[in-house]
Amino acid sequence: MGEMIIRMSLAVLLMVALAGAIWALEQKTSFGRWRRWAQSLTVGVAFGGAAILCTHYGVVYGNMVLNVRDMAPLTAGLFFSPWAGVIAGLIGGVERYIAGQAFAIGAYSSVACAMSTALAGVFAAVCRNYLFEGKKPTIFYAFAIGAIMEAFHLLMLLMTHLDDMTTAFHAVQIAAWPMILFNAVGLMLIAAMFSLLSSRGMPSLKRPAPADTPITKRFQLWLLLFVSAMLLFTFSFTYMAQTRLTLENARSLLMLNAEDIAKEIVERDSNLEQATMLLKKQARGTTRAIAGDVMERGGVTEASSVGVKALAALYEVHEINVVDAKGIIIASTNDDYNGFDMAQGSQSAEFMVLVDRYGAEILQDFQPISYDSSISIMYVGVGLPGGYIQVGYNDDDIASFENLAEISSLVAGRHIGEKGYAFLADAEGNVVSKHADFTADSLAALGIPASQADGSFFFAAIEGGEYYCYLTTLGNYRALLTMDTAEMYENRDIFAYEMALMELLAFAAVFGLIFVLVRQIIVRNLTRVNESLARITGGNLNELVSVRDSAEFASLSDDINSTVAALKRYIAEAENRIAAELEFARAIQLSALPSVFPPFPDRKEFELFACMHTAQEVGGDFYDFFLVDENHLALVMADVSGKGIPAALFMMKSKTLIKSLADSGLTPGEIFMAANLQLCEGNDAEMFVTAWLGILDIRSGVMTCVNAGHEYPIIRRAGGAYELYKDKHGFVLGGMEGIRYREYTLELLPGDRIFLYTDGVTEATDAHQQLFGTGRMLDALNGVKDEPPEATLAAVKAAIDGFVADAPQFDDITMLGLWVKPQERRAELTLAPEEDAAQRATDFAEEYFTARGVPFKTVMKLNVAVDEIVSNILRYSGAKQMTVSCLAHDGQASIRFIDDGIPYNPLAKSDPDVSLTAEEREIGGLGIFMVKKSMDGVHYENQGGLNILTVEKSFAAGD
Amino acid sequence: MIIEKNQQGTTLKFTLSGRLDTSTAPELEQELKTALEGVEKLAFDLAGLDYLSSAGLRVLLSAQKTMNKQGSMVVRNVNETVREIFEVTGFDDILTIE
Repeated sequence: MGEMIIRMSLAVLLMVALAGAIWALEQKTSFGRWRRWAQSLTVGVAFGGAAILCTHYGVVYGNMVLNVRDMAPLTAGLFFSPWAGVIAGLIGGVERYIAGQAFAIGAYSSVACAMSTALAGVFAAVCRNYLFEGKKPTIFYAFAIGAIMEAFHLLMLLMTHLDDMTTAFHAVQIAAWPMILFNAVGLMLIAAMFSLLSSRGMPSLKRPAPADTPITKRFQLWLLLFVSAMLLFTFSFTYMAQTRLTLENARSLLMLNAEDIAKEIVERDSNLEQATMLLKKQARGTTRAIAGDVMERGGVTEASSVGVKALAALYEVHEINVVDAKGIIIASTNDDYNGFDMAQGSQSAEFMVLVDRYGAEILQDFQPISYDSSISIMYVGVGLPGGYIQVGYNDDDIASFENLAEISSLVAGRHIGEKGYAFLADAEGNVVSKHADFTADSLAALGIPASQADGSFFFAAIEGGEYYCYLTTLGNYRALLTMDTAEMYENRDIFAYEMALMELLAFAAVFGLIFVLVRQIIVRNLTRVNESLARITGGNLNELVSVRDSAEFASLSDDINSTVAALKRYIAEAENRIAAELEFARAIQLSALPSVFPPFPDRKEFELFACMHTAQEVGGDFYDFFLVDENHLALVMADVSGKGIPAALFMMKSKTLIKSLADSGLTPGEIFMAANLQLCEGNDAEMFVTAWLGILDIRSGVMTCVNAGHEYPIIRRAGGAYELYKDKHGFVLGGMEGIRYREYTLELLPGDRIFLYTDGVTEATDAHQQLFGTGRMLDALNGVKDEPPEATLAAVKAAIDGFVADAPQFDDITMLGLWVKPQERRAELTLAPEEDAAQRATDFAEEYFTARGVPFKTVMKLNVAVDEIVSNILRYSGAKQMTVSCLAHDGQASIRFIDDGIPYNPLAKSDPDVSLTAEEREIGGLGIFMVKKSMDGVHYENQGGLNILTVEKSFAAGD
Repeated sequence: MIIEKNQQGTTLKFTLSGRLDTSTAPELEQELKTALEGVEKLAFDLAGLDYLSSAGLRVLLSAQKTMNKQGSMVVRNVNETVREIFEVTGFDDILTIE
């Protein structure tokens, strides 16, 4: 037993080691990258080989050979691949059959073993594929599968030997527990090993929360409990019934045997009786013959002892007495009896009636004689004239009869079942008849206590055997009948084993079936519903749940679908409403930004363009620009944190604040300090805004700037490239109270450009989550570095669009470009106050403008203006010198007249009344009036004591 | 400026071409001073005139005033530039433009 356990454990450990080794090969070597079928084949062959080794190196136990062959295909199928299991099973099974049939190795069980090994592979494959859905089983399942397989194996052994159940049963009885235990524990060890090797770890013994328990687990648990209880109940009930039935059968068998024995005893007694009767009949005949002889020899009176002795010898009788009429023995074979008065003895007195009654007779039973009680004699008397004779017969003949029916042999040969016996004892408990195998000579020595009541059934150990016994009284004897307990219970035990094994299989089948059904009908459908729900919650409201293979799921699907449809409707309505509101908000927001370009058409010193491309949502970007006064232009670029309506509101507040603070004449640093304070106030939403502000002195080109956490501005110097200007950042506005913002100055010379933007530009993202970035922005800018701001901004936007492609825009894209225009060199003519000055001035202007493609008619109008103004100056101002300078640029003709005469603003003079008659008209003032009327703009200023008058007239080239 | 003078009895016709401005107006003024004596019908053909300035207007006004006393005056063939000047200055009400 101990050796068997050690050797079987070793076999199991070798199998575990093989599984571990193959796993290691899969993980550490290129074996894991082999094609799937090649892997399956290799593993199948390896475990097939292991199965063969098991066949040939089994462990002898009892008269059986044990092994763990079935474990090989099970391991291959459950832990590696289904096909590996099938292959290993076929190899092991076929080899087992051949070994059994051809080489007589374990021939008795070869069919059962071969079949179960082959089926083990299939079983493992089916379990792996359908029960575990391709996963490795847990240790509990591994154990169960091992046990079920071995139960099947043992049942096969019984089934293949239906004609000799007893032998098969003994084989099963020996092999059952070791086979089931070692195979099951072996598989369990392998499962535990894989569980440890994989990251799954040991299964937690803690009961998981209901929410973490799959339905199948719950079913399994209840199924396990319920089915186990049912099977245990039916098994126990049947077992008890079987036991009961067996006992009843045993009792009736014992009682039948007792009856048989009783009959035998009675029969023996009746034989004796019959023999006695024959003896008596013979004795009467003999007695009459002797009486006849006595009569022939002279009757009673002539009788002599000698005579009767001769008769006794002749008739072979024990005793003859001749009695006279007085009852006195007158002749006897026993001389001592002569003269005995028959009337004296009670037994002999009976015969006195025979006196003188010739032919009458009396027959007595054997009885001890009064003379010698150890001798039993039967007397027969026959009446004679004058007396009678009495003949005594001893019991020698009877004894010989009795010897024929010797009591000790009565039950010696009796068998009850195969190993049951009967014992007969006399009234004192001495065994008078028994089987030769037993030595005890009394019931007490057999182990039956004297107190044991007759007619009782009980278990007893008799001379090393276990028996079911029946003690009873048969005639003058006490009979003990026994049945071998093991033999008696054999049928019941075979039945129990069969039933246990069958029930285990049935249990496994039911368990598997319900498990699969639950998964097919409920779990799989739930999974499908959940997948659909996941897609719905993932945003796809068009997903339809369509699990329709049962009424419940169809109704659930319909309910979900109608809920989603209703939800979709509500969302669509809400979306429409929100979209309309957002559209409105965006319109307000956009309308707050200056959007008329050019914004300052009469400012020729600079050109400005800004744009904001909003993302889907209302954002918080804004730009702003405004003339603080005639000579100061403010530029603002800002980005409020966050999105949506709150950001938009915060943006409006920020924009208004900055503009109003700037309008009040503060410097940029002061503006931001004040704005920050106000934005911090009541900023519960903790919003903030990054902002850049610059105020440009248009005349000097000096720009005072301040940066509150905003992107670096980009500067392009005339003739250079666009570059980041890494200015000093202050903290964001609205983030913390009391922040000071450091100003810095930039000098923007004619031809310089500045480009402001928000992070919507640099952080525009394409489909691969790549950012547009500063580099691409600078590249885009430098690709169009000579274009005016509007075209520049359009080019940057086009570059962003090209980069982002179809990816959605998440943030506002806001840009502002300022170009300080290079001042054109004016053509200048300096004149002295001479007669022909007007003529020279007009000629100069005409030549200049004609050369620049100004249309003839416009040139004529300009000539009129030059003529009028120059002649006016010469006539009235007393100027010593004057200059006329002309400029034609961008469809704009401009002439500036500068003289050192007395300060005089001709524009201040009121216009002449042009409705008067010729007689009433004054011609003075008409010239300036004409100039005002014919020109688009006339400006006068007095600077440094010089009168500066500028006229402007737009023209269309080619007119 | 080119001034062409053509007199037939009491009818006098000036054909002006070029520019009638500060520098040329005195020339026409000088011409008119003497030429208008006894003229009953004065006509200006301005077909060739590029433009005129206020100095020119002054001469035309002066001529109109004179002719209002002794006869009539018409201005003919006014180009667009010149017509604009007349309109802007209200001269189209004073002058008879044909």
